[in-house]
Amino acid sequence: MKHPVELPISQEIRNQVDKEIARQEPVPKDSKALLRVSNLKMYFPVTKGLLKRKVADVKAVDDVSFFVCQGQTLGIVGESGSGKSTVGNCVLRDLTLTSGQIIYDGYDLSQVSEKQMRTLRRELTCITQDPFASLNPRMNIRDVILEGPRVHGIEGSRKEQQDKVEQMLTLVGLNPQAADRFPHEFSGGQRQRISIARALALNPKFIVCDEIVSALDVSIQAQIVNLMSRLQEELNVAYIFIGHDLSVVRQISHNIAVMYLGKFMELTDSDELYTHPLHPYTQALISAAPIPNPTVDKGRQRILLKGDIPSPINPPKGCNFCTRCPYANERCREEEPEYVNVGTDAHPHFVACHMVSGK
Amino acid sequence: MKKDAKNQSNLLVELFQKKPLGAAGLIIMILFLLVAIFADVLAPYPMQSDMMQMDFLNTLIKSSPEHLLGTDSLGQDVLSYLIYGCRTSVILAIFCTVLSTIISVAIGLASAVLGGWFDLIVQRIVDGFQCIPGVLITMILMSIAGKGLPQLIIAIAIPGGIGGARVMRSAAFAVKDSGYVRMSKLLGSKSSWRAIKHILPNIMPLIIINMAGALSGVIMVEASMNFLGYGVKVGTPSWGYMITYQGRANMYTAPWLALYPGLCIMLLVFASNMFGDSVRDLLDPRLKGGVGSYNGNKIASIAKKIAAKREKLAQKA
Repeated sequence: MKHPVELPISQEIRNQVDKEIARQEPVPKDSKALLRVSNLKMYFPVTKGLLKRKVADVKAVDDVSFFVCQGQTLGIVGESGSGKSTVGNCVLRDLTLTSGQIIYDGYDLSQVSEKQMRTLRRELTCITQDPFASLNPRMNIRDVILEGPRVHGIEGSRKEQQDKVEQMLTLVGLNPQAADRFPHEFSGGQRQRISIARALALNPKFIVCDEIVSALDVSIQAQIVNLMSRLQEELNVAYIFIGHDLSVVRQISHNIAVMYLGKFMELTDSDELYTHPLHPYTQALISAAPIPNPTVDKGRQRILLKGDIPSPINPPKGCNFCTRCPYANERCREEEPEYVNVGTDAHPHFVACHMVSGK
Repeated sequence: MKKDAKNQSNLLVELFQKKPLGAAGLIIMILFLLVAIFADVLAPYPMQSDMMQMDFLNTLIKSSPEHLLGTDSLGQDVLSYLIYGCRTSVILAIFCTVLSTIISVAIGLASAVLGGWFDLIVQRIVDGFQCIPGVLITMILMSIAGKGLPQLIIAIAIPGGIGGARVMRSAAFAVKDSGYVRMSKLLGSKSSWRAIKHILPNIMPLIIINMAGALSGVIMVEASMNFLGYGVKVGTPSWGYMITYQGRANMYTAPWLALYPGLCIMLLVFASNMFGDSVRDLLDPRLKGGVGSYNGNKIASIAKKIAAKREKLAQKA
């Protein structure tokens, strides 16, 4: 498999990242990306019987490579069970990967010790899907927000703590007076803001946002997405933004990856993906997204996919998508398509499809 | 530290304002404790050289001006016996309950948080302990350690605590798998931090209920240990001893011998249960107040306003 070509980033950010990486050099220098994931594989073993004999693997993530630069967002879209969240959890080292390499800021996350990883979590944090489960019902908002700094022993004096809490609550658009309240007194959207404030309290450089708006209603979704974009501009944070709502992901992402059955099908910048989707799966996804204009919506052609996503225990031979692809031919069923750049170096466009790469 | 003290006093004030029953429980427990401390002053027939006074001419009296609650078969004054028994029983109940709770929480938390091999081995040891009746373990420990109140406390607390560890472990496991504990881990916390800051506060209701339940159990175990001859030093009065020795032997002729200590045990258990329940409710922020909490006065005032408006409208019409 070819190594992915660098996505365009500004020289300024590049220099900044270089400077950051110059701090420590445990693994070969990677001068451009804040996070570089190469050939990530995450298999969950399926065991059977008393002796826990391994009978198969659930290939949740199968050979995925990408990178994220400082201050940029990579959106990951795909249907349920395509492995989006697993990618996020691997990056956070909530899971031990089967193989592959995740290099964050010069550290190989699959190699660093538990202690080092704890230190790294100051910069590399996450926000999760469910705003109701992710807050301790017995902790007030002040303690929730200060948990990160306290864990790392950088909470400072009482005055500094108070300032921090007020600053964070203002940043996410909540009343600073709410600090002494408990999570049950807030609505879903407010709780999600509290989760965001908790993640931001450590001044992270990288946040994995795992379906952070899926549990919220549409108006709140817009608020949260706008908030996240604003914070990115102000604080220069990088995101992996996982979601299944294409329009939401488009709003915030610089680059979008489309995932299907544990593999990246297509990866390019978000405008390109929406205007020129190349992979048949992406085309089908985009044609399924509703357009808020009835005349346009009526006129366009829908690509309807038949059947369900196949089992990741036994993915189809050849292209993963061949069972549902309207264009699939013999070659697709036999030979796995390569994940290649069909765009230019300045505007890369990765796709894994025989039809597109035309070889 | 200052803030903590303030919080605690708030809890007390709230207890008295919102949970009168819990406050009553607290007062009863404090009263029992005071009785235990001032037994020598309160008892009408104080102990002399560690022995209760006996009066063989007045045995099994029901009630008289000299002996308010009657006497037992040795002519010992029941009221004095109860007051001295309070000393043994209350001290034993409180210390034993606290100690056994500490043991079960420590084992349960460590087991749930560390998991893996540690959990497997510790839980098999717990299983082993549970195969043997708790009273037997207490007897074995007592015969090793000898008679005495501290020994008895430890000997009762160990099997009790190990038995309770199972419940604590399963509760801690449920909390451990929740979203906020995972988030805490992803923020970089150590497992000890998660155990103390997240898991412990969330299994607190269970701990308090367990404590209130254990309290009654401890008094009964003490009674049976006394009966088996492994109790506190012979002649030391305790409620359990009163029920098992005097009470049972004279059940038909002098039922009050078992009735009064039984009532005392009931009262103490009731008090501890009420107190535990109230504290649990007050510690839970979800039941405490804020938006959406029930406030009778507020609702009544709103209802009044609506009624007044209606009356006005009716008058106009």
